[in-house]
Amino acid sequence: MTYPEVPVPIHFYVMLATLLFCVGIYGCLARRNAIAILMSLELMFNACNIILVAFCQRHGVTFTLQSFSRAQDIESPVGQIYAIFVITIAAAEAGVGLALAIAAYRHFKSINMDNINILKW
Amino acid sequence: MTPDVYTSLGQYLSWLLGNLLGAAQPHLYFWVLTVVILASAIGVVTTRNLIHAALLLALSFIGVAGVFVLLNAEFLAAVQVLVYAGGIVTLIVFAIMLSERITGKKAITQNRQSVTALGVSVAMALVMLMILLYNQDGYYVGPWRWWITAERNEFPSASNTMVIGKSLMSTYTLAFWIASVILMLAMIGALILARGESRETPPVPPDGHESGEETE
Amino acid sequence: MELGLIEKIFKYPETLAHWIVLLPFLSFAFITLKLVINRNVPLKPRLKEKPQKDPNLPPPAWKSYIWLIAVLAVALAFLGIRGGMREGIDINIAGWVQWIVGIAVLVAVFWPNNSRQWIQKYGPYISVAAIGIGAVIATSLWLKTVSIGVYSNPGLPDSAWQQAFSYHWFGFSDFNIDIGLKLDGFGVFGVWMVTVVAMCIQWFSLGYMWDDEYGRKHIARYFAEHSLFATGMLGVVLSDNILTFLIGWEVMGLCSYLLIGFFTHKPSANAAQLKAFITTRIGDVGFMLGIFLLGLMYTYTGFPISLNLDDIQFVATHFDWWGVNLGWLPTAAALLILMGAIGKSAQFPLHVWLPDAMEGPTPVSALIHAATMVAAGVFLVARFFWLFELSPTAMLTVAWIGAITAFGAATIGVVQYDIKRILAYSTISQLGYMMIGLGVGALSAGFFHLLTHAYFKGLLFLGSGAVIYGCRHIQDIRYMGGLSKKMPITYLTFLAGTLALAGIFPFAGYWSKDEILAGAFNLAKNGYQRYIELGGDLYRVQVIEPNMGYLVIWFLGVAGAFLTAFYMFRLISYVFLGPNQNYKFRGPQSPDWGHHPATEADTTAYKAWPTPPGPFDHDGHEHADAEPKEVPKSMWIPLVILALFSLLYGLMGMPFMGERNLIANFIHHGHPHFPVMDGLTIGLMIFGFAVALFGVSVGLMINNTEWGAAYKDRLKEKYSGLYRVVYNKYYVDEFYEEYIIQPFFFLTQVARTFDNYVVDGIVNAAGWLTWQFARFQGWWDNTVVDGIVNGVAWIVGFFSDMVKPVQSGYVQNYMIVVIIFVLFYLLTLFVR
Repeated sequence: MTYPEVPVPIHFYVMLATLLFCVGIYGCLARRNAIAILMSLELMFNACNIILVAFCQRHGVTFTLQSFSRAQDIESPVGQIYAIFVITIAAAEAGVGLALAIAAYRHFKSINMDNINILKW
Repeated sequence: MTPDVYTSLGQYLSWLLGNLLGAAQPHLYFWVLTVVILASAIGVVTTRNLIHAALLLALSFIGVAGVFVLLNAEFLAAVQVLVYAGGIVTLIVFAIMLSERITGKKAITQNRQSVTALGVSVAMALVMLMILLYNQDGYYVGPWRWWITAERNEFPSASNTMVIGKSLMSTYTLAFWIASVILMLAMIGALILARGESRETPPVPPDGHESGEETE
Repeated sequence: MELGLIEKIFKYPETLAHWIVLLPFLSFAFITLKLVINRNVPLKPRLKEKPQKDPNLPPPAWKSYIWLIAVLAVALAFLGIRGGMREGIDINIAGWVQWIVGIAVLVAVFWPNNSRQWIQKYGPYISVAAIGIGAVIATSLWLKTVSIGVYSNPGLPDSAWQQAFSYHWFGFSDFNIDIGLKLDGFGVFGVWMVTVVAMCIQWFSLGYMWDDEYGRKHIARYFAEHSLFATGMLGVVLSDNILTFLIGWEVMGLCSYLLIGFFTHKPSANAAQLKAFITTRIGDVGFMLGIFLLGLMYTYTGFPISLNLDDIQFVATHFDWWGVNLGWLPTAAALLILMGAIGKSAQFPLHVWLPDAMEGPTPVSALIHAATMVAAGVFLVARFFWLFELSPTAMLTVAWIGAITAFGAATIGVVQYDIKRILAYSTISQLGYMMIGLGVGALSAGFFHLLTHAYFKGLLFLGSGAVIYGCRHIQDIRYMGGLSKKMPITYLTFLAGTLALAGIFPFAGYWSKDEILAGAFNLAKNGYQRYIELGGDLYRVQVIEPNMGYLVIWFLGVAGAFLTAFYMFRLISYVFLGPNQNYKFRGPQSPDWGHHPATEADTTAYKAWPTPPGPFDHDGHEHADAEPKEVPKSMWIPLVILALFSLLYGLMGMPFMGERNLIANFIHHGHPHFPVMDGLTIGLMIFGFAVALFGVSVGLMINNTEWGAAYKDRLKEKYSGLYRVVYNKYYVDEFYEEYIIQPFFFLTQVARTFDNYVVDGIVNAAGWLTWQFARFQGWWDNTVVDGIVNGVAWIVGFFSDMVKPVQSGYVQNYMIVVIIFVLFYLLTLFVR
């Protein structure tokens, strides 16, 4: 595959990811609903994934791939694999988190994080 | 070959609009996807309706999947759509259904520290952008310069899926296994957590107050 | 050289000398232990009934001689035993025998045989045996001393005689206490006198104490105290150092206290024992101060301090070798020591205890207040005669006090009606004579009189005890009369003692009293010289100048002799001569009769008591209506022994004997002084005898004839005031009561008030201060300290309240904090 003549500069991707990350931070800190917080968390994960893949593509390493009878040097997909794992772990965490939210809802009869402050002074 | 150095936004815009159907197409796709992602993200954190938020989240995920395609990570884009937009959002929707009175009073979505949070996140964004846009000597260099010091990789990338598959099974096997164990643990944990406690335990009334009477 | 016991007793009695002191002490200890370990273990039941003995009857006569049998048995048992003789402290019994004896004694002490009754039955005999063995040893010792001293070593100075043993008790570099026995002339003669007299008195007490109900129940205690007393006196006589002297002195004081108050149920006895003890104690204070002054003398001269009497004498008499002038020290020390003698020997200011001491049983009066204890004071002055020699003031004080006492007590004795009280004043008077003898420098005369006085005064007291026994414990002579026919043996022995006391020619008292008066006359004529040894020669130094004023002493002595003879024969007339009175009151009333309640009981006492049925009165005695009876044999044998001594003892001190004069040979101060038979001496002897005969005749005539009685009544009317004063003992007791005892009680009240108000006030004030301080502390603690603590807590709480909200329990707050910190980190990266 050939690269376009004027690729999108990586700065754009980083800016995108940064803005997405900050939106996610805002949502984590400012939402009252626990599930909304978890959604914002997913946004943050996505921002990280974007950066990982962008840097993989633009500043990746090469490795020798043995494929049948020929060896060729290709770009290493390490960023993407990292991102796959992030997605996996994010999925697990989302599942557990939502289960926690449901359990907390059953306990507190409310999902508003405002009201869940038993561990205060 | 060294293309032109775009040193300002105006120059960039003019180049963009000039090569809309040619060399600037990835740029166009990028900007569209950016708008989609950011708008839906802001919608996620702002909207009052949780289902709307979940669906906007799904939209955001799809946008990110597009970004992955732009970055030559097709497999990852597929995984993103499948897992995130398909699985996690579904999960979130289920959780919303199990936990929240969807219809009901108009609740306040932002908590009392929303202003602080806004300020913090804006500051965070600014700081990170500044790190990005300023160079070592403290001068603004902006994102429009596209002369990258690092060498672009000239080697072709193999078929994305095959490469990822081979790597996962050979170089990153341990991580793969650990991830699978984590998934199993998460499943079990979620099962236990969501199963519910014994009926005898009386629920502890929340220490806070629904009406919003906050101490201090 | 191994010696058997018999050899030791008869050939080397000085090796057994310490037993003289130890045996009475052991008997005291044994009896006391047995009394204390009072186990009322019931006796084993008898298989057949024993005939009940009447406990009120005295024990059978042969039991009095158990002591003799025991002594013979022990002597025979040891005849064949040869014991090793070790140097120094020698126990004188073979090794294994001493173990057997010791274990036997311990078994006897702890044997559970109903000890209280057993010891009441057999304790007295143990005590008599102890003192009897002591008497045997002392006799042997005297014999040996006399035989050796006279014929082989004339003129031995006292201090070089013989040291029986010396034991280094304890000491450190400069100061050593060596305890030992010294057998010099004073010691040997004294111990012979004490043991013989004590043995006779204890023997007499066996029967006398049994007669009284209280005495019968407590006879073991009596004999224990008696034995302890003998120990004390023998310790005084035989000791060679001032420490054991003082110990024996104090023991005697204690035992006189115990024995005077023997009848614990009589309040008059309690008062009398306290009076005796306190009065002698006052004297003891002076005695101890005198000893301390003598110790001070050691610091002047730089000698190492020694308690040995010989060492003290040596240092004091040779002080001028070192150019040290002791100045006032000998006078002060001598006067203080004299105070001790005045207290113990009942001289003029401190004589008040002796007449009251007659509250004790009569044998006690005999031993303590006639023969031995009061002689201890004279013994003290005799032992320290060298100190009195150094100071003419002290010697003259002794002489004058003795003269006053001798005459004054004789005058009081003339008008008393209690038989024991007459003898008590006689004792005081004779002690005055001894002091005269010592004060004028006639040391051997004074000591000789002490020895003879012990015998005849002891005899007289025992005789009076026999009279009291016979008359069923009546002591007033106006109820008695004509006892010579009912109690012949008592009469004869009493007469022997009276003759000796009055100073009739060949009997003991004559020689000693006469020598004293000759010494007084000699003082007036020649003064007194002291012998000083300088470079091997003896020099004589005039200590007291001759002065006709000292004839007053002689005259008082002569007058006292007359009065002595007079009142003794007055006593004999009342008690023994004349027809039998059958206890009818015959004599004159006391001068206070009608004014003083006590004397009103004189005539009505015995008749006023209700008569209980039966043959015995309420004291357990046979009724006063019964006839006077003679004493049993166990009681008159000691009387006879003492009478023999009274009659014959004086012969050894006759001035005719010249160089063979035993007394002068042994009882002297550094050098024997044999009396010279010149015209003056013979004249004085005849004069003294004449005075005594005059007194005897006057006494007999006035009391036994009608015209004598009429003359007596006329005299009493003419001098009724003087008569009353003399009868009331010159009001000395009342003077003391008024001017010494009442002020003392007043001081006591002052002290008590002081204690109550001042001392208690201080204590209460201290308590009040403590309370106030406690209040302040409480305020401080509550307000300030707690304030600080609470303040600290408040500060902590304040700051923690400020910090508290950080932990809001609100997860998003925590997240914001995290992100803010991340922000700052990023800023640092950015700012570089």
